[in-house]
Amino acid sequence: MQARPLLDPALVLQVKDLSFVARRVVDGFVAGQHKSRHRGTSVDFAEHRPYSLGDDIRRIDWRLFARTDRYFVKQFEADSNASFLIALDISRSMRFGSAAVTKLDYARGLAACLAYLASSQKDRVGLMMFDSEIREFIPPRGGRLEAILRALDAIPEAAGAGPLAPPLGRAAEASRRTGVVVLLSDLYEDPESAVEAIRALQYRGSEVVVLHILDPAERTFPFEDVSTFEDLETGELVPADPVKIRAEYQALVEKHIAALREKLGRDRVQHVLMETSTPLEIALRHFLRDRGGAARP
Amino acid sequence: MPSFLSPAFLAGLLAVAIPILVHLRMRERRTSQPFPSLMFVRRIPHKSFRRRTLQNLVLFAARSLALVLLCLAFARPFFPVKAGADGALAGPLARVIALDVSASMQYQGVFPRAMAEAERAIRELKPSDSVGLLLFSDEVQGVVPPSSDHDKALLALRRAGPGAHSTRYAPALQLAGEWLSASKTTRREVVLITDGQARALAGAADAGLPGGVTVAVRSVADKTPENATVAEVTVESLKEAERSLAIVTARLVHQGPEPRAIKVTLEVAGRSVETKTVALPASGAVNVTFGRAPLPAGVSKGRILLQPDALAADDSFAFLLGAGGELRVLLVDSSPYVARALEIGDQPAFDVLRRTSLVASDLAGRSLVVLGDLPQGALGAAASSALARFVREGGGLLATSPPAGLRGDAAALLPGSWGENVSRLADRGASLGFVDLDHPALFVFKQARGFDFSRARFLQYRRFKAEADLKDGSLKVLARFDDGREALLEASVGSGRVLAFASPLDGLMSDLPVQPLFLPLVHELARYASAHQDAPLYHRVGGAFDLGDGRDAAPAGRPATVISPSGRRQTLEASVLGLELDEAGFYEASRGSAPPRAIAVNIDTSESDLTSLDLEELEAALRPTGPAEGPARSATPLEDGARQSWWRASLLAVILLMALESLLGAARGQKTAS
Repeated sequence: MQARPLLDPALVLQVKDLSFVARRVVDGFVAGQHKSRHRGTSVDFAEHRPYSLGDDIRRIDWRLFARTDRYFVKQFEADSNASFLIALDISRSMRFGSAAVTKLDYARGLAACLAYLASSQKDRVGLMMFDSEIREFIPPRGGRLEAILRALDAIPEAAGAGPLAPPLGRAAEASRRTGVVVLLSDLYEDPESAVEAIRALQYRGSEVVVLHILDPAERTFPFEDVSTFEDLETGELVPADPVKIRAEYQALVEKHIAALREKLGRDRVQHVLMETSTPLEIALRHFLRDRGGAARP
Repeated sequence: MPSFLSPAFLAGLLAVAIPILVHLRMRERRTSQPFPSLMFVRRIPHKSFRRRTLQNLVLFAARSLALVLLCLAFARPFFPVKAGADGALAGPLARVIALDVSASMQYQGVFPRAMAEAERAIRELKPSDSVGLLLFSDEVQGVVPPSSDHDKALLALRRAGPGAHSTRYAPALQLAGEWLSASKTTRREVVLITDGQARALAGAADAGLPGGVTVAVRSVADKTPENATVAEVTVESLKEAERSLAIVTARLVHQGPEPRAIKVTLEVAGRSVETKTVALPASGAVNVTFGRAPLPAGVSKGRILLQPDALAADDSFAFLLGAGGELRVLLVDSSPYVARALEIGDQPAFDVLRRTSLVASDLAGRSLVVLGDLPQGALGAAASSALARFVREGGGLLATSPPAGLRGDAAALLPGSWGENVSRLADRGASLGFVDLDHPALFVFKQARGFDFSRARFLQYRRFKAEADLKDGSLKVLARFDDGREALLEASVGSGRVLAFASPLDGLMSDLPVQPLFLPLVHELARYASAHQDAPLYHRVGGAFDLGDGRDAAPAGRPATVISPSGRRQTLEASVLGLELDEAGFYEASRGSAPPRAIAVNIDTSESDLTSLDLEELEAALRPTGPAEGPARSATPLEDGARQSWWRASLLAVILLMALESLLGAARGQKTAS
């Protein structure tokens, strides 16, 4: 079997139809895993219903037939158990992209893929978009995929910059069910306060996954000319000579990432660093592998 | 502009371009580089970067400037001097300060600014300079001729105040030019302190300011003037049950960027009659008509009073009511048509004395005699002589029937004789085949519609046989019948005029009296024959009033007493017939024992237009175009040397700059090493 080529994010994210992108990426990804997308379906029993023509006879409950002399098939409710909330940072810093894809485009594609994947697993999917406050909140429920993709298609303009704690705290208060929370952000905040904010998402034992989205230029600082740099969050202008500060900058960034990983790991929060140059399939693979290798998110 | 003794060295300035090009190549990019977050960049110490940039700029400027000055020093700059243009070279300055004292300078805050400017223009002079002061509006008053006595000019300046006249620059420049022409100094200047009204420029270009005289304008105009004024007043007089009434209409003009509501009051004989609130448009005009105001007998003083604004001088408008000037007519005509026509109308109003026969004494005080059909011998010899004298002395005679019955002196008033009657009964009457509508008496009908001269029918008229040897212009035919015969004639006799119809206007021999044009025709002919002119409702400051217009009942030859609006009394000799109007308000003029006459005077409307010219535009318009006049001298070698010594200063500056460069460079080197 010939290996399917991976999709360049710069190309695939040019397609405006997120539904198509998600399908294309996730289907290809799942096929590449050689596993049925239904393999992970829950086997939690829900109810019996009378057998009707066309039902899989393997689902007939023979024990019940023995007791009642009537055919009943088992119903499972794998689609009603898991709650999957995608928290997407849409602040101005996410609008940066050194190449064709900005961090926000990348995160949006990733969020669409995750939503599609979770929805195909019959999970309840929700979406929260935030900057300094919550800008859009779709609570996790079944059949919300279309609404989520529409919301991802029309991301509002970022209003302001601020710490993660207020929007994530409010999201935690608004969510009632235990589940999985995936945070997509560039985490430009002091590690202590960022971890403190993320800790709020671990409400009622929810599992939190942080997808740390960065542009390659944010790690390498590849600029050459002496320039005035403009902070996209605050608008502050700082003149700097990139050549002279590059090494120091890179060290600070790596230290920041390491601190985040260490502190989040201490809280049993999964931290996955994703660069926007990484194909979405690989990003998904890393994400799922780190979470136990199942196709289910 | 400087010149250079060795201009080739200026080529070295090109070297300055090298560090500039390097700087442009290496400089910080002007466009900012967006970056998601500078939280890490900020943690890196970079303050030295800015300081270094600043130091680099100072260093760069010092080096470039040193190079420029070095080139200039070698090029040996000097400043050529035109004779008479350079103060240091040409000696003392003669300055004439022309201060605008027109009515518009009364605008709030303008005249104090002008006084301050004038005082500054005097105080900034050196003791050796001379200064003259003149005050101008549309006339000029030379207060202090140029002299080195500055205190005298200051003293005279403190007594100056704005008047009511309009502005013209030409007289001021003319006098200033005369003064400066007589000055021996090489530097001569006119300082014009004004609010820069555009209309004042008329004739300024021909003011004859000698060449070489500079004109410096110091504008004291308000930047955003706001003013309302009464531009014009019209009065319609009417009679109602023996009461004289007047309908007054005022045209208000507003200058200002925003619409504004204003209270307008009509005052008659010192009593407030009506007050209206009027919405003035932004920079526009509006008419306001007051209700019927009852008039006292005789002439009344009227005023339109506006709510006070920044220019109070034009907030009150004076005019006269009932002074339109009656046309005093002696009517000797049994026909009712003409009498009825003269009863109607107020432009002018007719004061009609009706008689069945002409008596010499009735002619006194009359301007016009209207003569109807007189039976043979109805006019006595005395009356005939009196009538002829009346006409020769300027009276008018309107004969509404062919005056064939005139005998004696009066018969000679028309240069010709009346012949037999022509009956046109057979062809249902004659019509007018020609009317001279270009004649002043009929000109009003030329452009008016609805008046058809050809509709009138004349059943009978008399032939007129003109004298054979007539002088040109002594007899004019204003209208002819369709057969070419004269229908209306005019003759000039002495100072008076005679108009005569060839057909009687009695309603029997012609139907002209029942035609629509009859009334205006009679009015126009009466006005023309009597040479009547409507008395103006008001005059403008700067104009003159004719004291000898014959309306005074008192005989001429006596001195006249005039009281101005400010209460100034002056007595004018009997020979003085004109009164110059210098103030706005009501003058009172009387001659002998005659009752005083009121004269309403207002400031010129141009003074209410506060639009000021751009300063440069004004100076360009006033700049003298003639060749330079006056003494001139050439520079001495010592002065030449002084003017060429700039290179020393340049070299000194280069040395200082290089020292600064060394210090900065050393400081930078230390920082870089550290």
